[in-house]
Amino acid sequence: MASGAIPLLIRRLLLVPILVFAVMALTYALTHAAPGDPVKIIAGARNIEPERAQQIREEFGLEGTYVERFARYVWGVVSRGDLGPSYYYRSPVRSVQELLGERIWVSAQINLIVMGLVFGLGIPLGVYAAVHRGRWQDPALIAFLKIFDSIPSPIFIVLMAALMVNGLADVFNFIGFNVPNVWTPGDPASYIIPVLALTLPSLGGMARFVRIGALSTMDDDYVRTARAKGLTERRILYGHVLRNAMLPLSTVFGLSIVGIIGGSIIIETAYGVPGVGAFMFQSITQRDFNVILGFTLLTATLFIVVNALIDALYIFIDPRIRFTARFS
Amino acid sequence: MTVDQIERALKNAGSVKLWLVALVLGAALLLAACGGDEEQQQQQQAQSSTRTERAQSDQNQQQEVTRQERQATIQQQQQQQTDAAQAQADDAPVAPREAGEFRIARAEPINLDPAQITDVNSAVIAVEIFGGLLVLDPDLRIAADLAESVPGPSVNDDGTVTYRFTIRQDATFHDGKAITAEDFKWSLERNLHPETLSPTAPDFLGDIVGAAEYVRGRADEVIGIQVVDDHTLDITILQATPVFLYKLTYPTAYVLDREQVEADPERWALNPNGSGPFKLTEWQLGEGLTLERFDEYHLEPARVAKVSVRFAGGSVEQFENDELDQAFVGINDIERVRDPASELNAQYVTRSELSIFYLAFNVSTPPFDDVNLRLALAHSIDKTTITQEVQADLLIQARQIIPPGLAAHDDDYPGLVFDPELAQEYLAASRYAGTPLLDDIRLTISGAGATPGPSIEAIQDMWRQHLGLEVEIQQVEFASFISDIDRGLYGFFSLGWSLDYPDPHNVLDYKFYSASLGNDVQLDDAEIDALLEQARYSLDQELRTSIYQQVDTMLVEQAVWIPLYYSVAHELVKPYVRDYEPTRMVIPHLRFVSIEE
Repeated sequence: MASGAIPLLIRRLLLVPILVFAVMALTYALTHAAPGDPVKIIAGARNIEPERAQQIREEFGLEGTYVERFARYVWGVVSRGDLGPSYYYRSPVRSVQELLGERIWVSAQINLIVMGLVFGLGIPLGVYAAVHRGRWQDPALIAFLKIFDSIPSPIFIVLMAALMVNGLADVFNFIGFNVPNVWTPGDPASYIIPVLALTLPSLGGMARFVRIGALSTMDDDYVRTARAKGLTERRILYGHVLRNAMLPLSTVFGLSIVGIIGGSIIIETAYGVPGVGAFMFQSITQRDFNVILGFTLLTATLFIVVNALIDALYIFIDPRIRFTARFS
Repeated sequence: MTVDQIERALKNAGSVKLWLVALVLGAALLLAACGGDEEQQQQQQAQSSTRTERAQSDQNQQQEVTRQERQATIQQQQQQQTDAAQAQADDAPVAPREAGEFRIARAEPINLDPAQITDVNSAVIAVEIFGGLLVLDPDLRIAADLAESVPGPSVNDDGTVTYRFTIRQDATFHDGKAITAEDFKWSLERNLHPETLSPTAPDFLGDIVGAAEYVRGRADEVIGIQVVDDHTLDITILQATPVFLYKLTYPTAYVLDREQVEADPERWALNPNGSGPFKLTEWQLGEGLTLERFDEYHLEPARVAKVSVRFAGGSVEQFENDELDQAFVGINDIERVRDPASELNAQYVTRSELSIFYLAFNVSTPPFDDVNLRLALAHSIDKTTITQEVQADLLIQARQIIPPGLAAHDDDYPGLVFDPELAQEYLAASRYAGTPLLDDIRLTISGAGATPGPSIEAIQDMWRQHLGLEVEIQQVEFASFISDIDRGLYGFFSLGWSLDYPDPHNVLDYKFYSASLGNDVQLDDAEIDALLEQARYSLDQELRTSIYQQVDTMLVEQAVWIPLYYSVAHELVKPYVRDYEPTRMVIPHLRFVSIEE
């Protein structure tokens, strides 16, 4: 099976640059076709002399035909790994890498913790619900978790902030934390609110996902066989049910990895987190083309690569899966 | 604080309360489908405004909005709880203040190169780090900064006017290097140079002889800027104008360290060697920056040792939690702050700003080329109800264009009064009366929310009720909005304007002179043009004041603009902070602040 997987992996990876180029062309076309002129944003509503506006546009490489400009951009990325300067943050000149780097890192730290918690808590909760199917614990747990993902996130973060900063202040003080109202650089307690605000709404989904997976495998023939063999319920659960129920989770896991470099616009904005989500939204409204393009390119590339790897990984996990019909 | 901000806050405050009630009732499950607020929030995301025009999308405002929502909720929670939690929070500050430290929250500057600054967020930081020949003092009078005194004009035979500046002997950059006349000549020329691409220099320094040629790359130097000796600089302008000295207080006229700028043209502003009262000692991208006192400052050095600026927050709850020494008050907190029984009331300071919000017509486009229609729309707006009922008196009602605080502002001028009957008469007299054009009048505003906000909705209601006109409100996302105004695409739009210097010239001449770049109402009135030219070049302040009053009245009575409100700063300052005052426009003011330890 491994011999079949490696050429497939290579074929999948060969597709990556083509897909990335397609994403780049599409994003470039869409951002540059959007109404609104970055030069206008720079000037604010104080109107710039047309001559000066023209000079700034030339400096930004916004002159020439679409194909010329796109070619220049692609050449910059390919030859120098240069995603270009921000049009908006101009003095000091900030490269897209500089603007995104730190912010991606902040969002990624939060996302990693969240991912750990969602998987670490969501899987056991889902299994617990599945095992207690037909009893009161299952619907109670699922309904309880549903509450969290039913609250719109702006409201949720307001409630979290109120609870953490005031209501539970004594508790947090006791363990040496004082949760700030707004993200405070260098204060580890700053992570508490955004992490909870992202984790709690995702727990329900994860638990339900695991629960359904576990329930469907529980009815499978081989589980019945295992039970007939006289295995203990514990061994059936861990040795047979969970292993098979985990397979679809690897897709979720892979896609979550891509999500790590993204950030929540709402939560980051509401809590003042200097992350990439809020920043991207700001860049879009400011028509900071290079930042929009750079981040899209980064995310798309990661997404395409990870997907290729997941496809390949499936073959190692489950030899029954073959892609030959689609990719040969 | 802007109209839009207040409206959004109001809008959101209302919905937050509803949500809370619903939650308390345990109906959370039912609410999942209502994602309106979420969408709104996303759309309210960051957009920095300009210094001159706060087209209602400032990053601060965005933060403020979300902040206000949170405040609204937290406020409620606090009301339900005992005061213990709050007292407890007061006892345990999150980030303890260092001695001599002043902690504030401001949006991150976009630019620190003074030649590139067009927005308020960058300007408030840059004015503390850099300096020029002249500065506006806290009373907005022109005062000497790096010059020894404010020079008088001397008229030359050819009609040009020369100002001779004597540069202070003790003027130095932060690194101790002396500042000379040559530094000023180099800085002004550098800011005007085509390669600097300054959006503001051609305008603010354009009066100088030879500047226009230099900006276009047709001259090697600006001949109107001449170094006489190390400490003497002559600046000659084309024609006497009282606003030129005001323009020299703008960042684009600040002095820069040539060596530093030339050594690293792209990144020098990361650690600028300025000449202002504070040095930029730390700048964490997206997080905050630190300003430290420049001990050798040529005027009186700052009284605080350090100003810590955070790029997130600025809310009342942070202020109450001792995370900040100064905060901005939004509509959700204003009632509690105004309550004389409140502890916060003693820490509340307020000041009107030189900013105006208005509705504008493109007077060259039908149906808005008809003065009767414009007057009908203006006379049917009850501004008193809006400022009192909808805006909780956070803003001041505007009856004319020139804001209070300028000599030409006349508090007794009644403007176009609310008079539905008169409005109906004007509507009947309109040459478009009964035509389909009146059926699709559209007011364009900047925004992307689910609703245009209570003030605009109230106005829309008044038109419906008093004129029977169904005016459509079109919301356009900020970047498109300002581009399209520039292209004259909107016939009727809502906007704000903050003055760059405290003179009516900055609004009347810039916005209404027919050949001005800022004339987005497409006004072409020979009489107004003649008056504006006269005021532009007159050195007689009384005459100028009366001309500007006259022009203001003409514009209001022709309803070219419908002035709505002037903005007001509402802030909280800790009792141990002395001499902090909200400013009426962007001026350096942090050096006057002191902290009582």
